[in-house]
Amino acid sequence: MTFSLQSLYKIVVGVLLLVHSFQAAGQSKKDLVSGDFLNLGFSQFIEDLERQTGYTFYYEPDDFDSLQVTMQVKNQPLHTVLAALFQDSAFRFAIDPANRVFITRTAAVITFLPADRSVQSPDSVVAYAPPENEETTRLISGAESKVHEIGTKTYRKSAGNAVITGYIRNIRNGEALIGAAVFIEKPSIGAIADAMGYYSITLPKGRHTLKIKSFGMRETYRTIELYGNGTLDIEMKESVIALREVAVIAGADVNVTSSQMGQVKLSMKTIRQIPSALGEADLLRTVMTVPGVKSVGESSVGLNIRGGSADQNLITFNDVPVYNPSHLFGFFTSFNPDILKDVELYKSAIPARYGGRLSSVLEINSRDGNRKRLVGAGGIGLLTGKLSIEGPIVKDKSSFLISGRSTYSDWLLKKLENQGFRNGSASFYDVNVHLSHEVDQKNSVYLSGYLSGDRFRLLGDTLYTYQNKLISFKWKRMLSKRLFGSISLSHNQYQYDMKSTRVQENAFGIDFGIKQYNAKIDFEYELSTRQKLHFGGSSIRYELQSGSMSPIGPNSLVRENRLEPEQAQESAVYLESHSEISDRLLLSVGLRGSMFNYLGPKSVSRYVEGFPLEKRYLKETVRYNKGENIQTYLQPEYRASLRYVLTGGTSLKASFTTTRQYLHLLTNTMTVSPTDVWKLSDVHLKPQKGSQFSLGWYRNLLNNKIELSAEAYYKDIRNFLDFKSGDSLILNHNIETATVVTNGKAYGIELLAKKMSGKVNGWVAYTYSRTLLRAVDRASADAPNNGNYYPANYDKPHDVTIAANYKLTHRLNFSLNFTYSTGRPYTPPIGKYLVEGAWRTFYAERNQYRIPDYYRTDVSINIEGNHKVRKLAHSSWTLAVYNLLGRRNPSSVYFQTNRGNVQGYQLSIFGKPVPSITYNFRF
Amino acid sequence: MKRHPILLTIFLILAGISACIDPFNPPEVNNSDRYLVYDGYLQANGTDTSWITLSRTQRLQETFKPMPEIAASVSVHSASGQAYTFLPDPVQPGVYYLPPADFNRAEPYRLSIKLRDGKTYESSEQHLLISPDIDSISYEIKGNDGVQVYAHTHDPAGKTLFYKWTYDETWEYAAPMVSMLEVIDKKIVPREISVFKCWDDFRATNINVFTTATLSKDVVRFQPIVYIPISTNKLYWKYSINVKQQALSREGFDYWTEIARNTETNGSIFDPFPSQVSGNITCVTDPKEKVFGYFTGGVTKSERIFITEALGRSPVCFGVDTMSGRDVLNSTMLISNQLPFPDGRYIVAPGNCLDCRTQGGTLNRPSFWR
Repeated sequence: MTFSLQSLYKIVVGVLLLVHSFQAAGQSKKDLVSGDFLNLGFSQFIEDLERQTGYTFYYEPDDFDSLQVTMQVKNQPLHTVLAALFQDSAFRFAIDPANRVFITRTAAVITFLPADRSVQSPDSVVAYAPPENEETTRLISGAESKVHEIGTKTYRKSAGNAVITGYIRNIRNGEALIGAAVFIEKPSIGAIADAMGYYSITLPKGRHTLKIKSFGMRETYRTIELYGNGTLDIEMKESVIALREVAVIAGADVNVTSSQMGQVKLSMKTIRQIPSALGEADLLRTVMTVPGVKSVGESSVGLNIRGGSADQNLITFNDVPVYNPSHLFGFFTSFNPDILKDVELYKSAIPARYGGRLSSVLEINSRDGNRKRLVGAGGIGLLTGKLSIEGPIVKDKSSFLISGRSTYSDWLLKKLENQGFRNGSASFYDVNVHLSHEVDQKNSVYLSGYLSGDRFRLLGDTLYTYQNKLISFKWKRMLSKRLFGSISLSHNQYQYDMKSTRVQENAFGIDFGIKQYNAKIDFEYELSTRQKLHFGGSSIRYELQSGSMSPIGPNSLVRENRLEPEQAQESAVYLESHSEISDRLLLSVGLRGSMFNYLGPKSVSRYVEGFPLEKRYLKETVRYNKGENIQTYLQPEYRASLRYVLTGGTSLKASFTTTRQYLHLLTNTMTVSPTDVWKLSDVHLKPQKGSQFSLGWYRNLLNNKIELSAEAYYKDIRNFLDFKSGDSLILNHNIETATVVTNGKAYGIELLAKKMSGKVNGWVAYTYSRTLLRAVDRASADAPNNGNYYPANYDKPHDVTIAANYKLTHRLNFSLNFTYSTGRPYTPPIGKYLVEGAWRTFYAERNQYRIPDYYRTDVSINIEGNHKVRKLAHSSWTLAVYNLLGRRNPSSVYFQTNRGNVQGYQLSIFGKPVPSITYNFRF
Repeated sequence: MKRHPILLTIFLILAGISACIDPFNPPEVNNSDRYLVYDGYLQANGTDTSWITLSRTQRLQETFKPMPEIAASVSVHSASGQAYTFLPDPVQPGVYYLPPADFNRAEPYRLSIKLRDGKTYESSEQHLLISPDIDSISYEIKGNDGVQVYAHTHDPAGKTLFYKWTYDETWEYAAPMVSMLEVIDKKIVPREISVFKCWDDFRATNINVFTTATLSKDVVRFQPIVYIPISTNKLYWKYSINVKQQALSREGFDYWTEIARNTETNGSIFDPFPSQVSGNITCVTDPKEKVFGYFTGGVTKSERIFITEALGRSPVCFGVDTMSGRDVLNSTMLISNQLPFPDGRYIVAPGNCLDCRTQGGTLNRPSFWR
C-alpha cells in the first residue's frame, strides 16, 4: 500500500465523519481532542495535541517535515485521532501509561510487557501488518509524501520564476524515461523529458504539486517548495498491473493535443495482447491492426501503409534501417518481443529528421538493460524458444541486454498439406546485444548489435538463406540546458543466397547483398518554452552487391554471372521547428534537403534518346571510374503539420509531407519475397517521389477514456516501378528494360474509436483506401491495362479491425481480434485454348478482379502467475486460437489445367483454427 | 501420455495447423471473343509430315472441344520467297498438313494464314532449329516410391542453349488371371485372341524447358523428364518411354516459360503474377486482335528406353467363383478355365480379372515393342 498525503487527508476526514466514538482502554476525559486543522504543519499539530491532552510526544521531526494535517475533530479520543492519522502510513504510535506518545516508523514501540497472553495490548488494534514492504514502493511514496525544497531556502520568497532540471528514470532498471511529461496544473505549465530522460521546467516560485506521467509508468507527483533554480531527479514505477494504462498512444490526450498526425505509438503491452498465429507476440502483426496499415497476404509482413508499397517504409531498429524484418516468409517479425521498448509509426506527418522512404517511418526501439539488478525473461512457444538477460555492468551507470531466439523444430512445414512444403525445412534465429553507459549526467553512450537469419527449403531442392546484420554506436550529450545533441554511427546489411546442388553439373549459388554505412548527427534546441528546433544531418553510403550466380563444386558447369556492384551516397540536412503559436494552435514545419549521388565504378548503358528503354535501342555503354559521380539528384522535401484546438477535447490537424526515395524493391510476385532485389536509383530509374496531404479530426470523450479520430489523405506517387511481364528481375543486366515506370494516386479515410481504460478496452478501426497506378508511357505495348489506371496489387478498399481486451482479473485477460478486408485484386484467366495437347489459359487486364473478402477472428487468453513480488520467477501462459472460426481465407488464387479442364484453386495458409500455447517467464 | 498432459496438449495442437487448397471458381467473365489459336511444328528433317491445327479460344467453363478453323489457307514462306502450302486434312477439320519437303536450314521461315473471312495472320521470321542428339535417357529407382527418368544431351557446337522436352510413355500389363475360354453364340469355346496382355500409353502435355545459357558448356545432365510412382504399377511388367527433344530460340524459351508459369503454378505465395503471353503470330488486318500460338520449326530428336524392373504389386482378383456350364451362359462373368475333370465346373471371375482391356489399354502390341 502506498502512503500518500492526499489519500491520508481523505481517509482521515472520512474516518472521522463516520466514527462517532471509540472506547479504548485507559481513556480519560483528558484524552479527548477537538480542533479544526487545515494544512497544519505536523509539529504545530503535535504542539496543539500536547496542549489539549497534556501528553508528551516523542518523534523524529525530520520524518514529518513534509507532512501536513487537515482534519476536523470534535471530542475524539487521542488514540482514535492518531490511529486515523497514521492509517495507511508507515508510521506507528504507542501510548504508555506515563502519558507518553512514541511515534516511530514501521514498528510500534512496545510500552509494556504483556502480563498474560490473553490480554491484548490495546495498541495492537492499530498495529497494522506492515504494508507490502516493497522497497521501491516506500521509496516512491516517501518521495511523494515529502515536500522537496528546491533552491536555497529563504524566509521570504522572492517573486519570479525558477528552473527545475533533472532526470526521470525507471526505478526498476534505471532506464531514462524518454518523453515523460512533467507538469503543474495551475497555471498549466509542462515539459517533456528528452532522449536522456532529462527535463527542464520553468515555474513561478512557491509551492507546487509537480505531476509526472510517462507511458507505461505509474503516475506520480512531487510536492515542491520552489525557492530558486535547482535539480530534482524523479524515479517512476512501472504500472505492473495497471488497469488504466492500457494506452496505445503516449499520454492520455496526445491524440488531441499533439501536432503530430498519423503517429501511433504501441507499447509492448499492447503488442502482447493482440492474438497472433503460433502464439508469439508479434510486433508487425500488431502494427497491422492500426488503421491505414495493411498487408497483401496472411503470410506477409510487407506493410502497405496508406497505399504505399512494402519497400516504402523506413523500418528502423534503434535508428538503423532493417531491410527484411521478417522470419519464415513473414510469419514472424524478426525481433524478440521481450527486448522491445516500443514501436512508433509515422504515417502522415513525417518529421523532417526522417527521410529516404516514401510512405512511413516505423521506429522500433529496444530497451536499455536493467541498471539495478540482473534479470531475465524467456518463453517457449510451439516453434521457437527465446531468452533474454539484462543487468548492470556498473550499477546505476551501465547495463547490458542480451537476447536470443531460435526455432527448434520444423513441425510447421510438416503440417502443411502441400506435399512440396512438407519435404521442406525452415529455421531462423535472431540475436541482440545492447549496451548502454551513462558516462556522467550529461553524456551517455550506447552500443547495439543485431543479427537475424533464416534458412529454408521449400519445393524442390533450392536452399534459401537470408540475413540481417546491424551494429550501431550512439553518443548522446547534453550540450547545455537547452541544447541536446546526439551522434550515431552505424552499419547494416542484408543479404540472401540461394543454393541448388541437386545436379552436380548445374550446382549453383545466387547471392545478393546490400550494405549501408550511416552517420548521423542530430540536435534539439529549446528556443523557448513555446518553440523547439530539431536540426541535423545524415549521410548514408550504399554498397549493393546486385546479384551474382556462381558455380558450386568442381563439376559444376555453371558460368559465373555477376552483376556489377552499385554504390551511392545519400546525404541530407534538415531543420524542423515545433512551435506553440497560441494555446490553440501548434505548428510544426520542416525542411529536408536530400542529395543522392550515384557513383562509379560502373558501366552505364545508354539508349537511343526518344525511344523506349529496350534492349534493342541500346546505343552504347559508358564506363565510369571509381568514385566518379554518375548521376546526382538534389531535392527539397517539405514537411508541415498543424493542430488547432476547437474546444477542450476536440482538435483539427492538417499535414503536408513530401518524401523522396532512392531505393527500389524489384518484385513481381504477389508478396514481398526474401529474394526480391533492391536497386538504387540510377541514370534511368528516377527516385520515387511522394507527396501526401492529410486532414484529421480528433475528439476525446469522458475524461480521455474514449478517443475518436478521423483522418483523410490524398497521396501522389511518382516513379513507382512495375514490371513487364515475362522479364526476369534476378541477374538482369539491363533491369531498366524490364521495368514499367508508373505514377500513382492513393487516397483514403481512416476512422478510429478507442477506449483506453477500464476492464474492457480496445479499438475499432475502419479504413477506406485506394491505390491506383498508371504507366507513365501510356502508349507503350507493355503498359498494363492499355495505359489506364489499374489497382495496385495491395489495393484493398475496405478494412475493419477490432481489437478488444477484457481484463477479468489481474491475472486473467481475454483478447479478441477481428479483421475484415476486401479481397486483393488479381488477374483471372478469361479464356482457354488447346496447344500441344494441353489447355492453356489467357488472362484479363491486370488486377481487374478481386479474390474473396478476408475475415478472421482470433482470441487469446493470458494467464499470469501470481503477483507476489518476491519469488523466483514470474511466469505467464498464453493460449491463443488464430482464425477461431476456421474461415478459409484465400491468400492466393491460381489456375491449373488438369486433364483438359482449367481449374481454379485458392490457397489458404491458415485454413483451420490454429491453437497455440506459449509459456513466458521472467526472473 | 497420462503422466505428461502438457505433451499431449501440444501434440494435439500440432495436429491442428494446415494450409488448405480449395477449388475456386473465378467470376463469369463476359468475354465473347474467340481468338485464333495456332498449334503445330514445321518438321524439317525431310522425312516427316508437318501437322498444324487451327482452332479458336473458348471460355473457361466451356467443356466442348475447340472449334476448328476450317477452309483456311496456310503456308510457310522462306525469306528468299520459297512457299510451301499446307493441305487441309480430309478427316480432321481444322488440321492441315505438309508432306515431307526439303528446307534450306540457313534461311528463316514465316507462317502465313488467311481465313475464310479474309483476315490474314503472319508470324515473325523463325530460323529452323536443329536439336542435338539425345546422349542418353537414364533412370533412377527412388527406394520403394518411384522411378525418376532423366535426359542427358549436349551440343558440341554450343549453339543450342535452349531445350524443350516432351515424352510419351507406353507400358505393358496383364490381367490378374488368364482367360482360356469364351462364350460365343451361347457356346463355350476356346478363346482365340488372348485378352491377358495389354498396352496402354500416355502423352505428356507438361512443359519442360531448360537453358544452358548460364552454363559454361552447352551440356544438359540429369534433366528430369518424368517421375513414375511405383503405385501406378506401370513398372511391374514392362515400361517404355520415348523422349522427344526440341531446340528452342531464346524467344521460344521465354514463351514456353511464361506459358508454364501461367498454367502450371502450384499456388506458392511467391509465384509471379500471370502475364499476357500470346506468341509470335499477329493479325495483319487488325494488329490489336489477340492471336495465340508460337510458330517454330526444325528437327527434333527422340530416344526410347525400356524399363523392366518389376516394381509394383502383382494384381489381385476378387470374386472368383465356380459355375456350371448353364449358369455361365447366363452370367456376365468371364471364364478363366474349366476344372480338369469331366463336366467340371468353370472357374469364372469379373471382367477386370480376366480382360486387361477393362483397365484402359489395348491388345495391340506397339510396333516398337520388344
